[in-house]
Amino acid sequence: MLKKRTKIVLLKCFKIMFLLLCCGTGLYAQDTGSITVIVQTTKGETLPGASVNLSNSSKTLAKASVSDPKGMAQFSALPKDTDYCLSISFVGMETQTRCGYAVKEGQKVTIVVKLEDSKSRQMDEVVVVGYGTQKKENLTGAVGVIREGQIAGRPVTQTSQALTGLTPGVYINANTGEPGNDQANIRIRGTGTLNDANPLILIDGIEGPLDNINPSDISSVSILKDASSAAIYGSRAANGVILVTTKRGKIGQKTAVSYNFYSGISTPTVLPKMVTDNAEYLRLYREAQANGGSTVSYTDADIERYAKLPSTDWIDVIFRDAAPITQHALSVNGGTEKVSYLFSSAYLDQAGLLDGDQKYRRFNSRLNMDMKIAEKLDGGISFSYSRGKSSLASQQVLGELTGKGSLAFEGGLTQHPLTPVYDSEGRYAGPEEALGLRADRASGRAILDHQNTGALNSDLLGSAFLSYEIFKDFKLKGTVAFNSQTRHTEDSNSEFKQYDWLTGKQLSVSNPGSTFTDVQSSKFNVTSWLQATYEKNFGKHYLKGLAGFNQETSEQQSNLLSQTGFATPSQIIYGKGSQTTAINGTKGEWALRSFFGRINYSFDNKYLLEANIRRDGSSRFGKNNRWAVFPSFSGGWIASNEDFWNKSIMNYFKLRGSWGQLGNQNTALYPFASQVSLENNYVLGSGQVSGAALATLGNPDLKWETTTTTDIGIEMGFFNSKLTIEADYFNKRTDDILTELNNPLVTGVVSPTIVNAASVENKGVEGMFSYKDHIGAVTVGIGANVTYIKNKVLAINPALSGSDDRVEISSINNIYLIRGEAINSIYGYVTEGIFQNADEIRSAADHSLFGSPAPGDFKIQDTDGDGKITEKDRVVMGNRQPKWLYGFNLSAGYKGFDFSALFQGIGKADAFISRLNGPFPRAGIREIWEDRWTPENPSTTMPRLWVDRNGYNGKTVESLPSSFWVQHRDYLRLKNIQVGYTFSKNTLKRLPVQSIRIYVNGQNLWTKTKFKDFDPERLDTEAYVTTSLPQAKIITGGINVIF
Amino acid sequence: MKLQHLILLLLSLASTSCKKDFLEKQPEDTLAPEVFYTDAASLKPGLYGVYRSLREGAVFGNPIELEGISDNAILNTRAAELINFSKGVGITDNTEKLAEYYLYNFQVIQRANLLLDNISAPGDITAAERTAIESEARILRAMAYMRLVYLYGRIPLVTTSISRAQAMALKQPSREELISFITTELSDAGMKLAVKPYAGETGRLTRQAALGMRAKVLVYEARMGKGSWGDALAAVKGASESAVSGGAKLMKTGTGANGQANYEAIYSESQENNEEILFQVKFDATIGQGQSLHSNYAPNQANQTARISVHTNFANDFYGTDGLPVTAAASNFNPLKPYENRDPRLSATIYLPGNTYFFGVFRGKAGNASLETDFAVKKYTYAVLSAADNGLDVIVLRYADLLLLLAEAENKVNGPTLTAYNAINEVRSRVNMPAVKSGITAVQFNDEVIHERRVELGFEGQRWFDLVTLGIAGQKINAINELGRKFIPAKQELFPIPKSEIDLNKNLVQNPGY
Repeated sequence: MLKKRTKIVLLKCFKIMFLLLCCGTGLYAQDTGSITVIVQTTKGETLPGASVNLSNSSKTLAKASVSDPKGMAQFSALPKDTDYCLSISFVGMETQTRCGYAVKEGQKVTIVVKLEDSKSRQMDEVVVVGYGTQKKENLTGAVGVIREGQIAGRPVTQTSQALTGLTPGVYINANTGEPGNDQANIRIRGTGTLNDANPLILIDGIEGPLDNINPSDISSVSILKDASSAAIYGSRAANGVILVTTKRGKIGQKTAVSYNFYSGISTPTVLPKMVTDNAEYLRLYREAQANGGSTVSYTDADIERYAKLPSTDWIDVIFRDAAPITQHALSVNGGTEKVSYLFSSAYLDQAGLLDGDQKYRRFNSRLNMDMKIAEKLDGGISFSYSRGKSSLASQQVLGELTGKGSLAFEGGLTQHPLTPVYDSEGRYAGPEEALGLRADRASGRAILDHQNTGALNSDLLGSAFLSYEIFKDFKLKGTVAFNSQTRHTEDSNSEFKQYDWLTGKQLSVSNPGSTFTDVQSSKFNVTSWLQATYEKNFGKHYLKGLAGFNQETSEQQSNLLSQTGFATPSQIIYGKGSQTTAINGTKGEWALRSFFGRINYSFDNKYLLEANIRRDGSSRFGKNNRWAVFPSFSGGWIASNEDFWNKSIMNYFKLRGSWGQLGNQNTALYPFASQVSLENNYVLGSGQVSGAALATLGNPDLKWETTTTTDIGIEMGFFNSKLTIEADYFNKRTDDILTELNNPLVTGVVSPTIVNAASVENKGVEGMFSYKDHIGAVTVGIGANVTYIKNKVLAINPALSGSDDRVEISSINNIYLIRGEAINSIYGYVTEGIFQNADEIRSAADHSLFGSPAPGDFKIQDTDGDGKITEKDRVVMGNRQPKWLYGFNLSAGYKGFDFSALFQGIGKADAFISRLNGPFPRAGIREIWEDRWTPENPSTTMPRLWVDRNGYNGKTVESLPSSFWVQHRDYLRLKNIQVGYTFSKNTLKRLPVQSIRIYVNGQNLWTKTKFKDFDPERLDTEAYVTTSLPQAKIITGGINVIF
Repeated sequence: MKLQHLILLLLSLASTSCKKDFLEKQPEDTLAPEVFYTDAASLKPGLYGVYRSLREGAVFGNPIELEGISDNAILNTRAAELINFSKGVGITDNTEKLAEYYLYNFQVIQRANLLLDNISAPGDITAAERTAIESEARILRAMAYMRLVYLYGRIPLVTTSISRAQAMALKQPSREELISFITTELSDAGMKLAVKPYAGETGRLTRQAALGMRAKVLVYEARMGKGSWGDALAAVKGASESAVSGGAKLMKTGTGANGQANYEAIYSESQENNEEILFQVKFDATIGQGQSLHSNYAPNQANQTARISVHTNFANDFYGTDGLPVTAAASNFNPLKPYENRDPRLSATIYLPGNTYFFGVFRGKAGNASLETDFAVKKYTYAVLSAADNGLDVIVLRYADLLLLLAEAENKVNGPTLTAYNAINEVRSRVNMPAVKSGITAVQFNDEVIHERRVELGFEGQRWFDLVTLGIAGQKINAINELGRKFIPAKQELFPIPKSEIDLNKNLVQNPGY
């Protein structure tokens, strides 16, 4: 019975949609009367710019207007009706809806509407929380909310980036400005684990990738920051939870079609400035070689000769002047009495900043549909599909695209300016061999043309739910959802050669035989849950209960093929290489089963209590410790609702506190099991033989990682909540962190074993304020948020003592975990200055650890004062975790004009940069090195020149990191600025549209930072400057039409 | 609609699979050891897994690296701990190379132990096959212990699989126990293997290889005064006889008249299963199992950065074609043409200034920013510009080495006898170098043998062990006078036991001087 009915409803619904899409809407009626609305404040002042909507009782007619400078809005040519409804709204004021106006033939009706200032408007908001919604007023946990208006119209291509700077406690770091690869890392209230610290992301309740959502489909984003709000997702909520709610149609809502288009250009925010003068370059290179005790093969005559020859600005060669970006988005939503729907599609086309084939194209489509199946029975379905295809600069690490690397950028930074791009025969040029210059980095131009990584991601998410009100106030809801993701990456490096630009002699061949790697991976998740809710008011008591069951399974698979020996470099086709150098695959699955419950109680709207509990079982742990319980408690006091409270200035005051525990199971799939890997083939005789060996040592006693969070917050509203302030103190401590600890070497097991070992603490405060008002016809808004976080590793391996508890995660990138310091600290020798003369060297501590220094070399601090530089002199030189996060926004509106600006910044964050930052990273030199130490220019900050990996300073760079390479990554950035104009209905009389808005938008237009030559918003764990491409400065113009 | 129906429907929606084993998931692309070794068919893959671990640079895969702490050469990048070590600067917080030599040799041991723990797995296999697999695993394990003893001294003796917890409570046995374990295993297991190479399976261990390694251990011990030369000589003779009966002889190519060609053929890819080789680590680049010695060490300015510079001292040590040191008064050495009329092994082993090579004319450090001397390693590299991996096998033991061990041991026991002369002269005549002068004293003869080892086995990973076991490391290294080379006696004969190991296991005792 149910099935049949659903079918009919669905059919109807599709029919309606079809009609709506094809035919549009039209109204044919006789002109008979008019209504004039005069909008005023309670004091009788006229109120221009208010939006006035009018509809008739059968909803077949709907009109919108905006009050003019006299506060008037006119609706003429209205057919006669007895029940017109008006809805008048204005920012900062209570919306009024009035019905029952009758219009007779030839009649002119005038209505005066007085709008009141809104009362605690922001506090009345409904916030999406775990498995439900709640009034913001009643929240006892810390929840950050981002509304659609804060994202709309911005040319953000990845949703993760759209969240930057909008709410406190959330750190968003875009790793690279490369389209399609520019997803940002998200940290909620600091990095709380040594494992994947990204929050759990749920899209309409289903775990999925944030970045494949079309940003204009988003209705709201809730960020659950403390234990109380997130505990309902206990098992995976330790890093916080982000709940994305997509837009849906409304029952009985008129069809609306919205089309949004923007187009513009993007350019790099910053590019390194290089020495491009040939003669100066050759002199600097000679100086650097001489400092290392070497001579060069070229002479002054050669320098003279090159002074007359043109030079190449290689950075200019590999970057585009401007890269186009375009997006189209269309959405249709509406509803009948029984069915509502939203359908949307969007297409994004963005070119990369590099002058190659780099681009990103994404297609999104979504269908959300809700049905009233019977009186107490509701149902709904959602489908979304996303296909993102990116053509990227060649990556350092293909498998997971984690390298974010750009070999082309490196290939542009490390070229001699005196080498032309092509030789006289149009082949890739190299330096004149007779000069004896190093030339071991291939031409950036050749890399752009011959090395490419392509990635194709397609995601299909689907879900269906049924909800039934079994008896009054008691609802049961069941949901089944799936998420299918496929990833396909291809990396091809075709053979190319470089020739001495002068003599035509072949200098090198890169990628001989060409290489090709193909990785195909897929993931399929099925989640189902059942939840029962009960909500009831008993006099002054309010009670809400939730109980539920959830289970989830996931299967994943990945296959890799690498080939070489392709006949023609231009034809690199899957499977056609003559040699297969690697072929392998991985496969695995995990499952999770959970029971959860929540009780909310409030008395007289003054005292609030909430308790959550969740019990989780995970397949990732052995039988011994598979299940765990995560509780949380919170309470609030709305003091402003007490009788004694005087609301005249501070109209709202709430104190709240929470405590709870959350879990994390984000670790390897089978960490409990020892595993024999079959990937140990060997060669015997003339053939390959399969070998097997122990790959990992399992830990059958592994258990959940637990995060305990305490949060104390206050919320205040002033002047009828025109001004709101919110502040929180938090203390988040994670214990039993699933830590990869190296096994004792004597076990002979190279890969680490995962044990419950480390502890990390994040303490901090966060606050925000928001002010919204109108001055006459001008609306203004200002908001700001700030967060301070102190991150500290309490222990890594409790078996070790004090300073021995230190782990080197990466030597090249200088990443350390040190007890008592922040996660991923930068550790090494402090450079105190530059040795100016031999006397200084003689009187300084013994530097022989590095060889023998000469004037112009770094002077290292003898931290322990033993007169000798040893490894004991190393200290923590920098902190990667930003201590300060902040953002502020401004908005204003006048009549049809609107303006908004968003600034965002981080403070007290460092990056370790090495090697390619050196004076001569093989070839090429940046302008900053012109200020080097020389006897004539006795700099105290810049050392003398050297050639990479040669000499005293070179060795320091390579193997003994020094503080010279630590740079402050602090920045303040104008993330977004937007100006728009909305044409009122009156000016659009002749067009069949409701409204048209045109706007211009600028992204990343201005940055203030001390970070030199490269973008400070970058992957902070890589020492290679070229690992991250600069962020894009994007200027777009757009139009939004609503029909 | 009936309420019950609806609830049922919702329940079924919400719990699609309520299987009992819902949370029981096992690895799908790997196997638990208990599962893997339930069948004797897994023994062979298990053994090949042990062989595979020989490829690590710290085991036998990189014969060049340790040359960089000997008097032959110095490393210049990517091996900070070894570079510091070679300059006598003791970094005790060793996590890099000085720990790798420990870890990867124990990896061989761990793999062998796991296989040997399960050697009686039931299945379709003959007793002979089972014995061969067992013996090879034991020999490989003993060879790893041999490396560990001579690099680190007293290390824990582990002969079965151990857990994390057990690993943190191990104790170090005496050095005598370790040496006795190694020599006993090599002879017991070695004697169970056949003498001839396994048909179609070159690269597998043979009896002569096991006995050859054992002979080397006994020579090392005798050099250090910890064993008798008589035992050493017996072991070398036994190994040589076994090798010869297995067809071992010095490699020659073509007519055998071109000494340099004869010598270069030993380590050329086209001849990589030649009869001189007693044991080697196998590589094959065409199936993705190559090694990167060429890309790491060749002086290829375009793609590579020569990560090792050969000491001038090494180049100078090669005799002239007259069989005399270049410093000898009667030498025909011409300082204006220093590389002419020299032992052909000189230009077979290293690049010399003025050589034409794949990148034009070799000009030493003047032409290559990463070189610190005027000499670069040539052995084990290719004459090509490409940085791709190569398939050349790495030699662990070859017949010439055994001949020189024979000359050394025979001279120690019986003086410079004909047997001793024949052994060294056979090696010399292969490269057309004159025979050792007759009538010299046993001490002089010994010096000739040690010199011969340096020039014959240069860059094959032998020099460091020779210097240390002969007790001449300090004398030789401190005489280099180049690039800050330094050796601290009574300390640097051994690497430090990795600090991380001592941190985790309070039973361990650090080596003297660290």
